Amino acid sequence: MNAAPQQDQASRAYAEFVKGVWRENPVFVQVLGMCPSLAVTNSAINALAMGVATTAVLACSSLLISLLGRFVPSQVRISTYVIVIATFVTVVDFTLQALAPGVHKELGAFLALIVVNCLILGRQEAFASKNPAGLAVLDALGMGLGFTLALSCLGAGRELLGNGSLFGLSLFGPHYEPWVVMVLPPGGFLMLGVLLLGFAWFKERRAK
Amino acid sequence: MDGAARLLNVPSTTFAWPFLHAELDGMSAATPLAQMKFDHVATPLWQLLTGDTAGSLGETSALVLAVVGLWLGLRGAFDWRIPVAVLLGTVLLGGALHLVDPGHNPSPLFLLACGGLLFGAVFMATDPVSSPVAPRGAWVFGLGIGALVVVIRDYGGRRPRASSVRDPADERGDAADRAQGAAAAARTEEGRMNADALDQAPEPSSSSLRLVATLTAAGALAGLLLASVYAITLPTIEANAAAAVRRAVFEVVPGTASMQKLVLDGARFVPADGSEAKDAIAVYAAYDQAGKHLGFAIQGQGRGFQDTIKLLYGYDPTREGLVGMQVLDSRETPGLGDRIGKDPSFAAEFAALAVAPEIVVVKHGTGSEPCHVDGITGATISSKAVVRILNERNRALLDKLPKGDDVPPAPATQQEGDK
Repeated sequence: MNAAPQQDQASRAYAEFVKGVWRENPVFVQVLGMCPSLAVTNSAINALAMGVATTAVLACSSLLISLLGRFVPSQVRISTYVIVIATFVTVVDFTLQALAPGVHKELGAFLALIVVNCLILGRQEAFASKNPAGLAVLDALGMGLGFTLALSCLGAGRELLGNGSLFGLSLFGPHYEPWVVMVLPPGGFLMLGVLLLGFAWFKERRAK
Repeated sequence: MDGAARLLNVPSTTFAWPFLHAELDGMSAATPLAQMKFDHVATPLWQLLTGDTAGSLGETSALVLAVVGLWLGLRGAFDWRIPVAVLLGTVLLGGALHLVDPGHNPSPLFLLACGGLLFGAVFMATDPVSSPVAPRGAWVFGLGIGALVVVIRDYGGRRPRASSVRDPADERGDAADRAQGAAAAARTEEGRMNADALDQAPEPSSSSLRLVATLTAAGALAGLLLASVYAITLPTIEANAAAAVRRAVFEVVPGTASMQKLVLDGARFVPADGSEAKDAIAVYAAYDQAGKHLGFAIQGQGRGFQDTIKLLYGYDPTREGLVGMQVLDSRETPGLGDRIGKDPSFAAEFAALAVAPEIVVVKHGTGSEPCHVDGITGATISSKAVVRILNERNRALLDKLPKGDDVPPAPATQQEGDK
């Protein structure tokens, strides 16, 4: 008798985790967090670092908001979320500065701008504040993973075309003429457009 | 523009603007606000009104914006109180500050006509989702925005270690950037909610005392957490920075094999023995493999467009010139100002640069003298900031550097850069 609800719970938890990776992917489906998606994806390693940093902030904030959210009066909830998110962004900023100064220098101002990534505030308002801590963290990790994957796709594609390398490793040899525009700001838009198109096309075909 | 055209392989006439400056296919200059702040040059009012000046698309012509705003207001497209309150707030506080110190604070008319203020007052402050609905709230909201604009324009970006809060009305980046100061965002939000609460009866469940208490508790907890993380990470961050400086010495003085840190003691430099004060002015004497003295690596810092720029440069006393420069830390605008540290052709400008009579920034491609530096197109202020830091350091330190036999010999044990 006990097995059924337990299984339900497990499948619910699984569903909350995977939805962010594919079905509700923050970048490709919800089209959220465009600022970092376009700005720091000029190389695979930058994109990955940005994704991981955002995931860390998202998971910590979701946990805290889910635990403490019901003590916060609704009029000041957004202000409280912003304080919580800004705190964790600063924590991540300091940590990266201490542990990975190279990555920190490369991400520069965009690290502090994780504060205004609407994906994070959106998850607090839409999910974490209304769900138990376990589910909130799973949701955050799923969304973070989806965000990281999307950014990594963008970053890997742009680095490959614009620099002929992947994670700094040169792949095509010295005769490859890099398509420089892809690692410059316009390349972010081009790559994102192509990926969004591909994603929509794939979904449409699957729906048929 | 020409570069972009070549990059995309389209004719450069694609970017030509047929009405103004028809003979050019593109121009770049600092915005009037930046010119005021960094060079104390006021753009003539007529140019601001007609929009014959640098700025983001749509924000340059004050006259057009005023007409559009008037039309939209008369048609009732938004609450007229909000833009009026924004402008009133700017004029009241800006005018008062101008009366106190006219030399430093620009006139309220200049404040109104330049940057994105009018654009923001008409199109952004009135955004129906985030603006208050109650009349009294609209006044409080607008006056607050106006006052914040004046405070940020007149006093923003001056403290050396302040977090980088930008001028919200002078943004070239995207809208998200404007919310950069999280604290500022929180305050605005709070102010707006309180303003709302004045007009609409607050929900019975939460008294204002509880609202204040919640935010205070959240702020206190955040402060506690940040203070402890800061204390834990600080030693590592400082060690990283010191290692980065040592690594950079090898870059800015080509051929360096070993180095010795010298600190300023009174009027002369002496070898550092670890007992010096943390903020003592230091230079690094650099030596080649044979122990021959090559020159000095000098650290400098100063205000950039956003925040403090820290850099290290190599000086060769025999050639009386710079041999290299590297930006150690900066928060300049990504894609524009941050090219001072990322653009190899800008760094190359400092590989052989005379320091006498003074280093001068010239428009890109027009450098002719040995002391000329080609500025970065689109990052005039940041380029000038780098050169200003160099000149200030040169004036202060060059004649104090040890000369000839006074230069301490190369250290016996070779020091590694990345320890």
